[in-house]
Amino acid sequence: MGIECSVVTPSEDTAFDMADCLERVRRKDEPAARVLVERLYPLVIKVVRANLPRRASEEDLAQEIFLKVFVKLDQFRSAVPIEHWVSRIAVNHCLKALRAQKARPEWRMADLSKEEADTLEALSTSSTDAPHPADAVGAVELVSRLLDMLSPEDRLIIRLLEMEDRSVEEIRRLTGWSATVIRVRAFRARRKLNKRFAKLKKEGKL
Amino acid sequence: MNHLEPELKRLMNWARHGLAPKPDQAPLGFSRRVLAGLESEQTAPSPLVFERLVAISAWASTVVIVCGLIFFASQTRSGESVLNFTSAYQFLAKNILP
Repeated sequence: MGIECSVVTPSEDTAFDMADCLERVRRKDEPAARVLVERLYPLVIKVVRANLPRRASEEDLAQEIFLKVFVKLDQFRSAVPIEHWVSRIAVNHCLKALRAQKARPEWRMADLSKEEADTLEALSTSSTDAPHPADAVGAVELVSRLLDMLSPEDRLIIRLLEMEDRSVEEIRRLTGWSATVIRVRAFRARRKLNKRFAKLKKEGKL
Repeated sequence: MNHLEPELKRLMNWARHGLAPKPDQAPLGFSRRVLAGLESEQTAPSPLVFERLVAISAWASTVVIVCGLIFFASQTRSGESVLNFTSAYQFLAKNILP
């Protein structure tokens, strides 16, 4: 599972008329549909990379999301920016795909790669925020494994809050969840993650 | 609000450094593949059509079974053999068929 950052920003290019593009797409204008795909691809692929199930192709998942966007386009009302609407479709589609994947078996210290074990060792002995490149690679794997232990929703919350420093309001716009749901979910997810990490350090297994 | 353990938080910061940047642009031919997929999805019969067909078939089957049971009951009650369709045919000829 990838742990890329997902950035959701409304279209900043004022020269591009999104409303006109959408109108043309609704009239089955193929070039306009291609332009829409090209413009929304960076947004969709970031959500996909951040929530990719194991052994899934990011491109296939992105394609499924775009199909859903086109099928549902008639339901889109301009009350929210198209980017937010598409983000929610992408997030929900990815969460559904993550829920469908089988749970990962229990993970033990002996299962750690050398990089991961070294990173864990370095983490306890060093206090720097700028890691050695090898430790950074190990950290990506470790974080990915730790997040895999959480539910797809908890994983998303932790990634957005802790790795991308998103505000609750931004997450609300991205997911459509209420602020209370986000706070409660974040609280539980942090508690679970802290517990897993403590167990890993103490007993050598998650 | 609770917080992540400082070590875990640092691990997450380290992970940020280890993420290799990937291109954000759509790969060549991606939009064409999306539109082709959309077209094939729209030309393929929708699952809703099948669902409707199944529902109609189920209702039609139910109606036939109920009619058969009524016929069977009326034939049994009148003392005629259930294989004798005369009365049913007469009923249809008199009341339903033009």
